[in-house]
Amino acid sequence: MRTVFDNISAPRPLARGIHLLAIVALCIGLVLVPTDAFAKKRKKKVVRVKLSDIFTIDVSLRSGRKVINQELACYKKKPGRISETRKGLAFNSLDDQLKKMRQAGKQKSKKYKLTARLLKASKKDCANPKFLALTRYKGNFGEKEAKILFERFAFGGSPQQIDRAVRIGLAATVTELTTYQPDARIDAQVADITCDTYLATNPWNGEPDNRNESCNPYYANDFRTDGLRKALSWRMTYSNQPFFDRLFFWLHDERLSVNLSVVGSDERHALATYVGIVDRAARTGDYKQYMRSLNTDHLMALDWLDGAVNRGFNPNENWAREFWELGTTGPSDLNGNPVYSNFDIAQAALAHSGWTFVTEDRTIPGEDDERRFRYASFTPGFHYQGPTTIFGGTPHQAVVYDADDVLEATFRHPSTAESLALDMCHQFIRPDCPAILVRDLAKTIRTENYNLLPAFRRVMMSNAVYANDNRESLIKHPVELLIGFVRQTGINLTVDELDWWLNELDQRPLNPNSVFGWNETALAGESYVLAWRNVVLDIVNGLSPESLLENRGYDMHARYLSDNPSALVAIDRVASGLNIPLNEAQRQALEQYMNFHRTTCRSWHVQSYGCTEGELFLERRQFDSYPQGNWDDKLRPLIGLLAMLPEYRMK
Amino acid sequence: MKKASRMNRRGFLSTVCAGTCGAAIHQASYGGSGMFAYGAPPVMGAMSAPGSVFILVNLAGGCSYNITPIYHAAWRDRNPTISRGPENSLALNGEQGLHPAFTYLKQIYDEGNLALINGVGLPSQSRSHDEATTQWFRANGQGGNADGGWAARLTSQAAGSLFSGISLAGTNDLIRGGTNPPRALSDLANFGEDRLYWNDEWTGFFRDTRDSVMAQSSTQQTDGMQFVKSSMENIQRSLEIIKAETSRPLPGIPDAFPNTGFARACQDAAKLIAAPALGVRFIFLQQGGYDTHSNEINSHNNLFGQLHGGLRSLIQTAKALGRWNDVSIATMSEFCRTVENGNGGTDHGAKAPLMLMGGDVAGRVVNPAPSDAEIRAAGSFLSGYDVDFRQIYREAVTRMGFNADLIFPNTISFSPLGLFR
Repeated sequence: MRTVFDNISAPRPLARGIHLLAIVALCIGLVLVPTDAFAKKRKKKVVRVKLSDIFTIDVSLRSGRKVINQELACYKKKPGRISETRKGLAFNSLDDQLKKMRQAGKQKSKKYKLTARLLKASKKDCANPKFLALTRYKGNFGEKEAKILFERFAFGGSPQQIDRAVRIGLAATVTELTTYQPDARIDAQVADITCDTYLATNPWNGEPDNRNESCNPYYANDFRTDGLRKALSWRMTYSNQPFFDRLFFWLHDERLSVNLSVVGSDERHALATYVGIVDRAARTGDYKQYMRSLNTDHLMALDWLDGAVNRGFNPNENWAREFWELGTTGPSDLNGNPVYSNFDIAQAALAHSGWTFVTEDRTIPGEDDERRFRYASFTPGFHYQGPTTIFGGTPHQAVVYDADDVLEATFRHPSTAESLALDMCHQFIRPDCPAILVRDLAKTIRTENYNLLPAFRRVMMSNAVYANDNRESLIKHPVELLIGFVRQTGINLTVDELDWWLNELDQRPLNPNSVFGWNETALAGESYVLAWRNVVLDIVNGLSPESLLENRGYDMHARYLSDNPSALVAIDRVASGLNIPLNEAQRQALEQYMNFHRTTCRSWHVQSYGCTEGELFLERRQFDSYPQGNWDDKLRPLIGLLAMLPEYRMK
Repeated sequence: MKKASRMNRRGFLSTVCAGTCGAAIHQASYGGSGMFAYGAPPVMGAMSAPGSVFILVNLAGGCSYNITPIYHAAWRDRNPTISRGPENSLALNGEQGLHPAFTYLKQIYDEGNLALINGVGLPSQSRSHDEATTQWFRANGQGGNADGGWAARLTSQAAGSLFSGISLAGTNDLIRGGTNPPRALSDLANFGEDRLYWNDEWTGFFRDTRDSVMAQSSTQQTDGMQFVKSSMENIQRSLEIIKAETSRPLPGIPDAFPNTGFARACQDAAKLIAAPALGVRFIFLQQGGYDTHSNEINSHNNLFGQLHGGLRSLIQTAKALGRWNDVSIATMSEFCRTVENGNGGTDHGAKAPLMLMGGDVAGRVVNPAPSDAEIRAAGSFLSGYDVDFRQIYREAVTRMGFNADLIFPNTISFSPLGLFR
């Protein structure tokens, strides 16, 4: 067989010696150098990470006139870069990168220098990231910060609320917001609207409404379901305790949700009971008691999630599943491992069993005929008698006999606090929540025995909420858009208007389409952009200053233009009220809008404006903020225009 | 106020029903994979054959196997009040049929254009609505980090048209991500923006100023802000074009579109198919209400009746337009359900039947229904899966000329089922 060596002529003796030496050297080299190098290559260390364990920071470096912006990942307090591999995410720390470059003798390369600068600039933020820290915020608490606080935790603040917050400071504002005080005025209005959907008198001018009826206080089903819904929208908009209403909305409409329309007229009392449970949870912050109450709640557990047809001998898993998935532990822990198995759900369903619905006719004072009532009743025969085991095979395994046992075992499970903390973080701090932050918040929740108010106070006063990196990172719910708009502008809307426009935005409180409640990202999609624009235009088109003043005591001119300001001052005032930051270019574009009118060029315009007849041109119509001026033509559109900007969707 | 005279825009949004919010909640972009939430996958050049359209119909809530009744004794025994036999269903073969509501779909089957695939699911099929819907929408597979939903990955390859994908059921994980995500609409009939002071001149200046102010924004570009901005930009561009293209009347068909929410969405889908200038390649439809924990038989009669009414008219329109050979319609549901639970309903299960229809579909019962022995041996539900759902959609998108490897990563090893002629 011929080989490549066949073509090589035989070497001479000297050359042969050199060849021999070369071969020996090569062998030595092969033995020493490559073995080590290959071994290293084979054992290349890859740090696999989970998304929940990392967070990202932005680093800006100046290089001459250039500004270099880089996004870095932090893992175990070290800055680095993340890459996707077939097996998942790999983390490569800047430290390691520098080390490798040093080993390769590249200390003088541009890449080495840049990496070293990045490391220096990012080390502190990775070790102690303020935007993820629940440590106490000690920076300035001015108008900007007060607006963040109110937008995130209280549907947005009125100018008076913002002024007061700045005056009394962060700690006092948080205490005020999170300390529940009964409000007889709003409670009476809520009861009035709940009864028949109408207020007895116009709250702004005191005129009676002849559609108003009264309800029988002895008859628990004597109210309107849509009245209850409208009353809650009203309370969210006009209550002096907006934090508790925001918390109500979070508990009900964003976590474990129920649609009020599921009940029949003989069980309407269940709606009021349910709202009472959520109210109590929001006002006391006692989450464990909340879940205990829901465990046997007619509306949520028994009707909506089928608990009343869950028999020990014929189980229905619906409530058992959602109790964990949406109410407590969540389906997986922070590392992505499942918290419970399907077998656990089947076991828990047995423990939850035993409830059913009973119907009977009752005599009610004040009612001529007997009234039918459907109510929940525990029937021991329907309850699974033996013990069952949940969280089997885990350190949290528990033997349970009934729903209360399931509750206790669930609240001993670390995932319950972590799931709550994760949800709080998503809704109130930032959309992506690394484990470092979640675990810290979960610790507070556990320490406070699942009372959420201390945890909320901590969040509201934390660096994380006011950090630049987290600003404009959360998308407002449609409810927050509309109610915030009313609170910020002071334009009073009636009960029906609120309900109508929330319906247009497809988000009437207590009316979610599924047990998962709402999702603000979905509700910021394209069709909803259009819906919000049309609601804003409805308000702008439909509510003239005259009618607002006459029927609702709302003086638009006094609110924005009392000192007869220029267009620019008016623009800044409206933008500030809506908490929309404007840059110079945007202010100029708006000033042009305020001082000009786009119209079709007519013959009489041609000489003065040099326009071509029939074409659109800008005719100067100076904004006149005096009461007798043209201010209304532009002020209302200005408010609408700003409310349509993407900045207004963010908080 | 002009409220009373205006159409209720709830109708406009109403198709965003149970599954939309459900599907979208706890989205992976929020938390789980925030870093990749709105990134862009690789974009291929325009490579798809012109014209073909894939319509995905989501039966949200988890549709039970009784959509395609199994006749085995074991199935009948374990579903005593809700199962059906050949006597009260539309038999496809000796062991399985279609729900009696689907008379027209039976005709399509007889014409050889409906394929029924049994035991469809995925590895680690979740039984949570939220997780399972996310799994089906993102179609990532185990540990995958592919960007966004698979429909967004598909339309990224059809970059030639802004309207290559349309969701007629709002926004969700399926259509998020990529470089050219499907547009989220709800209702073509009420599609439009109101006017300022009901005056065109005022409105034009107002809108132009708004758009100019928006374009000059220098606010921090968070992921959320980018999403909101892109939604606003997309709706802006979409409004006029879609309205113009879909305003033409549809051809006459034997069975008019019924007056139900789902049928109206089907009618909108038909309008999109009838407007080839839009370049629509993917349409998402959704019908909610399949979470039938109790009283399933009545719920199914109602739901399947509506589903059938909408699909029948949609298929008839596609045929009348001469486009039936370009159209594939596939169903999905986040999971199947258990056997009967004693309340005349079913709980959350796993593997499910899936229907695929189209003029080019090689219609048949592709694989056998779960056997009597399997049903007897099963716990309360049929676990595991016989066919990975991505295998089915993969064949459909390949047929359309797309690069399925980019749409369904980590699925290259599937052997073809031969779903198309």
